[in-house]
Amino acid sequence: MAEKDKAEEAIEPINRLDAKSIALQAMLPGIVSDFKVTINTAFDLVVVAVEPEEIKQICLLLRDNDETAFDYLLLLCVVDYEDYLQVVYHIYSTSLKHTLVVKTNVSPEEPSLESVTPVWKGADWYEREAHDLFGVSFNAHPSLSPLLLYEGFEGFPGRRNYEMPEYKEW
Amino acid sequence: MLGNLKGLLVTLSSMLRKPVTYQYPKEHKPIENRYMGFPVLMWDSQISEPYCTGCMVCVRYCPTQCMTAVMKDNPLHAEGVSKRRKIVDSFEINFGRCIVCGICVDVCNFDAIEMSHEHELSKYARNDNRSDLTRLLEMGRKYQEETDWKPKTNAKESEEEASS
Amino acid sequence: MVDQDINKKLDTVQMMVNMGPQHPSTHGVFRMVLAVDGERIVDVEPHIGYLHRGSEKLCEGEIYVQIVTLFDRLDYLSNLNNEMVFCRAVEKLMELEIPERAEYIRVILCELNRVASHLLFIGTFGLDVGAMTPSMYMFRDREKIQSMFEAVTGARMMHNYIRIGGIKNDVPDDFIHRMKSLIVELKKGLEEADKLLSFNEIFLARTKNIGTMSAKMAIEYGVSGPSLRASGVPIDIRKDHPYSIYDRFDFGIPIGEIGDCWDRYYVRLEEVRQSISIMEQALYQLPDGDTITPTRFLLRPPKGEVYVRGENPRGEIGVYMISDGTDKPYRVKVRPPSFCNLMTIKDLLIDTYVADAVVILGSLDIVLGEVDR
Ligand code: SF4
Ligand code: SF4
Repeated sequence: MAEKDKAEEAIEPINRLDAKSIALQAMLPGIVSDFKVTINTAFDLVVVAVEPEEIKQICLLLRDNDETAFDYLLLLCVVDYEDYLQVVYHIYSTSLKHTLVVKTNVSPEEPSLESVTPVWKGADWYEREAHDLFGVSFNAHPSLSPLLLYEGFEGFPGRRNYEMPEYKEW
Repeated sequence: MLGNLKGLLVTLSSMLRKPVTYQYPKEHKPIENRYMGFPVLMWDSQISEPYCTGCMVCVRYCPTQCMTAVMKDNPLHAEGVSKRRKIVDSFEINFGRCIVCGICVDVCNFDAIEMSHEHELSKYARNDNRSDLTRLLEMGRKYQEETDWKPKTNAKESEEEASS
Repeated sequence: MVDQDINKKLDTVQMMVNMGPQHPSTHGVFRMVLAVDGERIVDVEPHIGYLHRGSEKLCEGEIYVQIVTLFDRLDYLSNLNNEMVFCRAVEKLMELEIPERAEYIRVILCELNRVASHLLFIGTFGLDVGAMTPSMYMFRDREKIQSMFEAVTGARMMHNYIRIGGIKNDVPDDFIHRMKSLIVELKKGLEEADKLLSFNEIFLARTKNIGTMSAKMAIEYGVSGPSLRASGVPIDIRKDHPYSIYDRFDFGIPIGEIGDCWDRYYVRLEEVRQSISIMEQALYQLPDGDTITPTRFLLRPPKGEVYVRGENPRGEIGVYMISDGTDKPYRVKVRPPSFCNLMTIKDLLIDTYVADAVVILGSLDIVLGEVDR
């Protein structure tokens, strides 16, 4: 429980938004009104927390809408909050030059999510990496073979409860 | 064709240049003053004891955990020669693991450890670069002679504080 | 009868060629399995991860000051840029003010680092297409930069010089003087590279219209840095979202036309010129003053998360850091530019010749330490 509190508070908004992010924050609710989302801020970025089932539709919408035009995936990463895994997408618009953070939570047991490779091709290796290190499986991903780890590696070394093998100095 | 000729001119003109290669094992490139080689321990020649008190601060902050230090009571302090109550008993740095980051030098309150100019430490066995106190001090003394090393003055007060 | 034999269509068999991990032109331990039909590549399967050290995981167990050393080792050709982006992430979270002088020195050294990295690229790219001389010349010039780094930071590659709150110590007294003569030499060296390589007919034949990356494809894949700009997209974090003091300098963003190997090469070469101009301006403006805002050694940034972007020689590096208020970060994630750039390799290589594979890979300028982290 304590861990969860910690995790929740980490998203506590400290507001340092710049003009672009403020404009984005103002127009976002209108764009994603069809979905169940919560719009928040984290330091200087706007954060949208979405339901895991809807991630692909929302990403498509954000990419294709002319006002947002998020055509560039900066970073896809997974954060392990022990109780849940959070998949974080940092997306950027090359034409409008604003950044958005999309977050979604999945459960640590058999986490699975719709792949965003059809939206941004650049998500390919990021998703494979996330699959390697955190065990998040992405449906409809072209091939989720191990990327950074070797074939047949046991466990998910990115997670916080992964037991590091003992290093023996000779 | 023209591009090729231009390139040829460049190579031709460099024939007149002085050679820049250092024939390494015979000839060494001069070392800059600030060069950070492996960390070594300093020797206080006034009292003839190491500066290090074995306080383990550097051991705790070393990112690779490559050092160990043990502290003991200073016999010279009992005789009243030295101001250091504690002194290092044994100290080991595994140069095979050290990444020459300089953090140990930053955190040491006693000016006891310093980045030397030592960089040629090839050995036959993997473990031969575990350096004990004697070797570190020896390397340190070499560095002190080479560079005319002086302790920073502000270290004196903190020394008394920490050892009490 | 002979005629018949000649006219008969020859059967071809696809062959698997394993390129790497120990291959001189994969620039590290990168392995590609190429399916080739004669000389033509029909399928590519890139394999990475041979250098995976788990840097991001290691970050979770180290205090902030120690993490700087880990960032040095990500992209081992642009160490200072990496250090800077991490330090900026912590500073942003803590809202630290950095002394002017420290900012200037950071920028000068980062640009110098960029020049060193690009020079190495020009040299090795020359090697990839079969020109031996440029690599020798470029290493000679890069060596001067490394000596400069040695004089300022104490190390040639793993500096640990940029610290949270500023820089480790002030530059030596003869810094400005040495920098000025270094810049003169660099300019000369760059002209040599330009004359030697850029418009050499053989070089042009090997690189023009090879491995063309369209702007659309580059953006889809998240390609950044010179490789993106070569496709004609003028995105540079230093200009678009100026960090540190980059908004005080006047510099251009060189862009290419079609995004082939030659464009990627030439954009980098032009970028060196821009970097040199930034350095000159910064040296001219260099103020006096402190070099570090003193902080505690055991930093405890407030809870929160930041994403900081910076322009590396290879592209856009980003650091996503979550702090839980303790002395160790909760999570650090790096956006590795080479990783994203390398993702395009499959699309770029299909339907090219095996000999061009080396050139295309070389033109992306990857550093495997960063791809695998
Ligand atoms: S911090 Fe200094 S005095 Fe303490 S053990 Fe290390 S070298 Fe010795
Ligand atoms: S230089 Fe760095 S790695 Fe080496 S002993 Fe000192 S703190 Fe440890």
